[in-house]
Amino acid sequence: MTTETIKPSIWAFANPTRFNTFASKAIPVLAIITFALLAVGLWMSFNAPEDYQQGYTVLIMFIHVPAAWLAMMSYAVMSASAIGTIVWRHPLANVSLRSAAPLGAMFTILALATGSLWGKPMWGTWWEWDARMTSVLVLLIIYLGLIALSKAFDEPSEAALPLAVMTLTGAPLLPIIKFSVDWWNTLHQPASVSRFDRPAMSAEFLYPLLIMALAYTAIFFTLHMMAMRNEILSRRIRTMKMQAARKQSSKGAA
Amino acid sequence: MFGEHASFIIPSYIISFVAIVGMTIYIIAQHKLRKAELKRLEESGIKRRADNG
Amino acid sequence: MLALLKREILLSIRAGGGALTGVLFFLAVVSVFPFAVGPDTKLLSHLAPAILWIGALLASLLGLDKLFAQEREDGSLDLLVMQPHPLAITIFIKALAHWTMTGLPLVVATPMFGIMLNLSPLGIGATMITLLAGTPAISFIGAVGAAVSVKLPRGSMLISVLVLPLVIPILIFGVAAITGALEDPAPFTAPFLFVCAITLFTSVLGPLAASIMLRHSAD
Repeated sequence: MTTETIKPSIWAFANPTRFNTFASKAIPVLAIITFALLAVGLWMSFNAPEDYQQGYTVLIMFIHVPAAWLAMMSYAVMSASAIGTIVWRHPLANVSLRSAAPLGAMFTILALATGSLWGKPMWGTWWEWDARMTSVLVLLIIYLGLIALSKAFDEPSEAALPLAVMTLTGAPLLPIIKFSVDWWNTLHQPASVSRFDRPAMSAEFLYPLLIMALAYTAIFFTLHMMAMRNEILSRRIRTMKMQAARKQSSKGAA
Repeated sequence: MFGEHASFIIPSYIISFVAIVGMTIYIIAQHKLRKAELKRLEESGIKRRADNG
Repeated sequence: MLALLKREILLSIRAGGGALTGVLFFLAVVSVFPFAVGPDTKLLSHLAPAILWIGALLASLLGLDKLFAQEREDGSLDLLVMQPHPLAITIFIKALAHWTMTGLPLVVATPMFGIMLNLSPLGIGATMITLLAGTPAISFIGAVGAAVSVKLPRGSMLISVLVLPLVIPILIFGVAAITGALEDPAPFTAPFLFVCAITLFTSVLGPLAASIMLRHSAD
């Protein structure tokens, strides 16, 4: 069944209505899981012992590292959605891509902000043009560019393919950026980064970190589904308004 | 609390909290707005399915 | 193929001396740096590879928005899409023509700017080779950006925002190769080969992605 007659060829593949019914049921469940994970994760984080090297600043790690992971994962979700758009022209794939971009940008900003707040007491500087920070900053620029691109088209369905192509163009460059800057960095300032990858993390830090990472992942999927539902609603409103305008103009002509 | 670096730890938690909660509130508000708009449109007699007329 | 290349180059020459404007822009960017950094020749010669690369990067972004704009305005975009040979090849040629008008003149002009920035002859040579190997990739990636925003009336700003972060790896390896040529412990071949690899990769993937995009916007 098609909900719209304007673009039946595209909308026939998926069923946004069914997605919305599913989302309405799934979102409360996801939200409960998110809250539970967050509660456990935060409790474990604040009960973790003081790190002998970093002191209490290790607390920042529990929100910094998950944010950085989610910044990458959001892009992975967007790339998968981009493939869905290009190969199957699936409209939900485009909805998913659009909805993930602001979330990815948010997690990237959080990763940068908390990283900066962690770097000041640890390295004595707010900002260092080191491998990771620079590559994450580039990631942020790519996110913001994609958001700008998605807003630049009058007709949302026209933005689908440009967004997908641009997302995928950025995707293989992310690892290149990461490795190349790593490599470039060894020429200029080798030391400071190695402290970041602490060899084996002891369990008392690892478990809270993993739970917090799961909690952040749950946050992402909950918000992503909510944003997708919003996007579908706003498209429905759009087509209804256009139909109303069309009806009015045909009445005026008659 | 939190030792000498509390002035870095607390802001980083506050920033994360504000950003995530803010994003959630924004998305929920958008949802409410769109639901209301949809209702308004439906009440004004526009049907979702085009009747080819 | 060659005929198309010739036609593209002739068109861009007629459209306002493409190559000369590019070099002029390059000159403007390069000469702004001493004003900002100060006339310290030692510092300038240290920064010269980076300045030249950034200038080339910015100059290569010029005219990207015009890559398909004309075709779109006069409707020949549909003709391009419906040609017998693959669209990707046409786009490859168009990107190559864009590079001949923006990238290549910069390579030729590099010795002059290198001397102005107090760069050693070895440094000038390394800069020329890396620019020659690296700037085509900017045009190929730029073709994707141009194809993506072909339907937008004011897409030129957006193209720059989208393309610049994607060409950062080329900049990194390009400058790293020059540093490698000038300073002893750092290698030259490895980063230079990376630059070549990126250019080869993008010469295939860029036109392919752009052709998917253009085919979509034509129908």
